[in-house]
Amino acid sequence: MTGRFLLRRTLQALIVLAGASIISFVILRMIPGDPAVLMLPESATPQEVQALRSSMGLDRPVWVQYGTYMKQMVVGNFGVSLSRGVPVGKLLVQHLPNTALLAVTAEVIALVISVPLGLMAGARQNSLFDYTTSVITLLGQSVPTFWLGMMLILVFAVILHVVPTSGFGTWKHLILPSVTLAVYNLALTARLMRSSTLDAYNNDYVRTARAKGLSESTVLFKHVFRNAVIPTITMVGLDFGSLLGGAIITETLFSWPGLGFLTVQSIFFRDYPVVQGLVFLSAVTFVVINLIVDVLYAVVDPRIVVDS
Amino acid sequence: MKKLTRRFLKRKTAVAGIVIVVLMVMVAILAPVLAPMSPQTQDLRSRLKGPGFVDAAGTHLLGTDQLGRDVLSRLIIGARLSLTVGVSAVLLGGTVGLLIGLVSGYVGGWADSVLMRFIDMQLAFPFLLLALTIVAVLGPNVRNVVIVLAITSWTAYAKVVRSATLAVKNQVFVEAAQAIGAPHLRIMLRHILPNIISPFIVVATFQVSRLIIAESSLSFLGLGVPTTIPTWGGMLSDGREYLVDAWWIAVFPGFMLMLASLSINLFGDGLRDALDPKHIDEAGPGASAEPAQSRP
Repeated sequence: MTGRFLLRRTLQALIVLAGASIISFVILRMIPGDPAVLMLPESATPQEVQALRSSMGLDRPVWVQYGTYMKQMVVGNFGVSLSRGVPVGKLLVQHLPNTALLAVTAEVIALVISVPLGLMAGARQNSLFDYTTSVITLLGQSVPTFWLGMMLILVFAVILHVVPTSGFGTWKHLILPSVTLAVYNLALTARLMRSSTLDAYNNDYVRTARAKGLSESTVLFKHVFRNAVIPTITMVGLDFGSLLGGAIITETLFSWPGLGFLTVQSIFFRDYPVVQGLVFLSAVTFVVINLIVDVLYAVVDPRIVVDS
Repeated sequence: MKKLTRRFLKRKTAVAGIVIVVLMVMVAILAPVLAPMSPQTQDLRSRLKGPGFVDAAGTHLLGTDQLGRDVLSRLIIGARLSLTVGVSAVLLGGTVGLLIGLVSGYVGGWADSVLMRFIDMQLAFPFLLLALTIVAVLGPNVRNVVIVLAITSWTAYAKVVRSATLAVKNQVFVEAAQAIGAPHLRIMLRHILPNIISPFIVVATFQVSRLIIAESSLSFLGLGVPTTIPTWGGMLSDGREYLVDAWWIAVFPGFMLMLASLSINLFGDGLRDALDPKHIDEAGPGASAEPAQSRP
């Protein structure tokens, strides 16, 4: 890995960031509904609306608004939320840890279960265990997140009363949303882990290891596992980005005060600066995680020369 | 084709998948005949009644909702919209993605680089954030929901088709066609397309299930099709408020969504293995996950 590789990737990342910010800026301005009207009471006169529009800079051309926005953003100023009157940066900082807590918990649950599950299913191909795992993981991938969440609420909160239905505060509030969020990733990771385990078994180094007389468990854990886990790292990385970018459905369902919840509210209230900030944050997460995944690839498997 | 069918039929789960898919399509087509009652008729005296409730209108096998409408009838009519939206969005997004991926992979160079950066830009948006924003711009109706789902999904096909095209375009038969002076359009459509269509079909199959769930997610968040049209996602959204008193409103449409998605995924799995025999020989049934994509 050379400096040139990092430089090129960083440059590409910056282009992607700039593009994403322009696209979102333009799309957001196309949403019908005037934030100034939404902010003022219904009795407001057209003059008052106009005054608010010009004080918010909404009466200027889109590209001028974009220029102003970027100038401010470079110095870390994301603007002020139209509906809450709080700086956007502050809002993001408030909500990010909650989403991060949820996403990390969900990912840990998913990994702890899926990696051994996929590895074992792959190691015992076509066994009953393998078929059962296949069906369960396919089911996990097919179940709509919001329905799964509702069913968990119904069973564990409404009928059994072991956890709260929604909200935020104690560790008990974390259980249902994180399990809901984990299931899809769990299923996907287990399926991927299984197929990469099968792929790894077909390699020469496994034949060599067996020929050396190594025990089957050594072959599995030392040789197969290490190679099978590479694609899994990639997917976990990329998917973790999408979790952080806002578990919109899960957070809305459980009233979890994270970025996803904030996203839905901000879109409904035409709160441009907040949505813009969220897009920027998720774009940054996306490019940074992509970069990290590339780097990790090279660390886990030194044969991979990233420059080529 | 015969071989393909035989390989496909060898997998029981895939066959089960296609049987359920066909049944669902038939239900959707025959919905007005099959639905025991009108999905729109309200009867507030019969609201929130459990499965098996009998009133003047007849037996409500799956109960009634908060406006006294028959859940089973709404479920049957709802199948129409869910399947139509899913399939239409895949056709639209798939066509766009296929063409762009094909041209990008074949032409290469700066056009290809620009396209890849553009796909990255789009992938930098979380799927629902993008979908919600575009629905907010276009307004929530059936046509726009299809457009939104197509916009958010064309990248998946473009990426797969592009990489398949890259793998094919340097093969001898393509070079031969170029050498005898065949026009580029003809090479792309006659020589490359038939060789890259398998992975495309597989991705498209999985996308149908993904977009059916995505449509219901939009309805769930209140930005899907208008609430006057019965949809599984909309029913679930209604049911959320009555989860404690009337679980049946939410349980049944969610189950149908899961069944639709599961059967399409099983079908897709079987199709992929049938189209790629090497894959099944080496890796066994249901081997690899479909291309990584953002969660629905």
